[in-house]
Amino acid sequence: MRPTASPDRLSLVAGLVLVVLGVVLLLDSAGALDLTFGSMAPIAFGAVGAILLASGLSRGRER
Amino acid sequence: MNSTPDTPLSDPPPPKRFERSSADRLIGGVCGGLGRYFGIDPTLVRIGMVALALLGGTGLIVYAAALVLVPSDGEAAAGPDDSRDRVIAIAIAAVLTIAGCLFGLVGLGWGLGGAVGPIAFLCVAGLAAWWLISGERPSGSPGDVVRRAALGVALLLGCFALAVGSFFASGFGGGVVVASLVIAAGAALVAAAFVGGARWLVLPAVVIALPLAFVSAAGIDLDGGLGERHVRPGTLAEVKDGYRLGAGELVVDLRNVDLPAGDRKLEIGIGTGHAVVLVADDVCVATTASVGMGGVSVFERDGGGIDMDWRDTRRAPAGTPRLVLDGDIGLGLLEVRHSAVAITEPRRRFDPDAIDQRNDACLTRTASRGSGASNG
Repeated sequence: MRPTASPDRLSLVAGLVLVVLGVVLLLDSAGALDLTFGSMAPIAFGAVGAILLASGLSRGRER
Repeated sequence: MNSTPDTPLSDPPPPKRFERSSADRLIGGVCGGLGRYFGIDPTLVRIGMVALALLGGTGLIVYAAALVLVPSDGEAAAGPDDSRDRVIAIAIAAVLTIAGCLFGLVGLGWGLGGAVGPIAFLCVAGLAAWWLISGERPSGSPGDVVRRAALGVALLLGCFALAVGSFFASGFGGGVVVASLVIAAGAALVAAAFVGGARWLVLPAVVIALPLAFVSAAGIDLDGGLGERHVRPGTLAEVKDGYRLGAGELVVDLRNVDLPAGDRKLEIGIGTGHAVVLVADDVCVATTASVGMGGVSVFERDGGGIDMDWRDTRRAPAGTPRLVLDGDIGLGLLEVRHSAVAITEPRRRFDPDAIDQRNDACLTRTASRGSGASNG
């Protein structure tokens, strides 16, 4: 791996989204949260949507 | 006397190639290309393709295969990143993958028989998936097509295995570990964003995160074992305070138990599957249940959905035993009935008049029980 001039947008956004999603899931697994479909669905769809958006934007910039 | 033609020899026409039509296309230009190749009206080809799709689904497979294998006549101009074709490939991969998961890739009734249909399905899905991930079109030499199909199939199977592993690990109480893996992958991606080279981590991280999210939302707890469990206590002393099954079918048959007048509490838990509680005709049943995704059916009453809290707290007359049932269902169905035979008649919406016919112990005094404690 070599240093790049600007951060890779897809990796950065996907990484941050996964960290947030993982923390929420960790809290639920540890019993600190009680997730339901009503609360989980927007989080999951939002996470996947953000990653797809970042993927599309970074692909457009690479072209 | 020999004569030679005056007109110069023209170049031989180029060999006829089957290409998807970019000018005459409704979806991917397959029918337009076939019509042009055979010199027939593309509308007739479309009618035939729809007929094949309806008669066993073969038309869908043929169309999908042509879509990913046959190049478009505008491919050279558009380049390999034709966005419309990529969107179609994404849709095909998603539909085929979901269909494969839902139907187990077996017994789809596509009319091709045996394992040919599922294998063809899997290969087309693999090609589409590889196209989506790598950007390499599935056209080219047969060797290239086979290589891309194999890579795509391996990718799909790997994702499926990861998702299944994440589901069971989360269900068996390993949610903390799986969530930690997701956080670690996310942190690695953030770090790699500045040095490059770790985009491949996105797919496996998402694939293990989503099943964990599903398990968390549904509240699925697979502790308690897997498979079928039939419990049939003969005396009151043999009845436990609760029964739990991780995944499968749990049947608790209390019809042989002579429940005394008054309340008797019973907890039923199932991670994913089907739980059935059978009671005698003279037992009144009050039910509360928490359901992640699924339903509850108590005699003639039923309900279903997601994040459902079921409450059916019926009172029983004095001297009548009442079973106070508390269900915890992650993904599945909780049933309470008198008969071991599943009720096959069409379900009716809640009808107060129908209660008497099904669970009349809650409304009428049972003479054989005599007097006793008052319930509720």
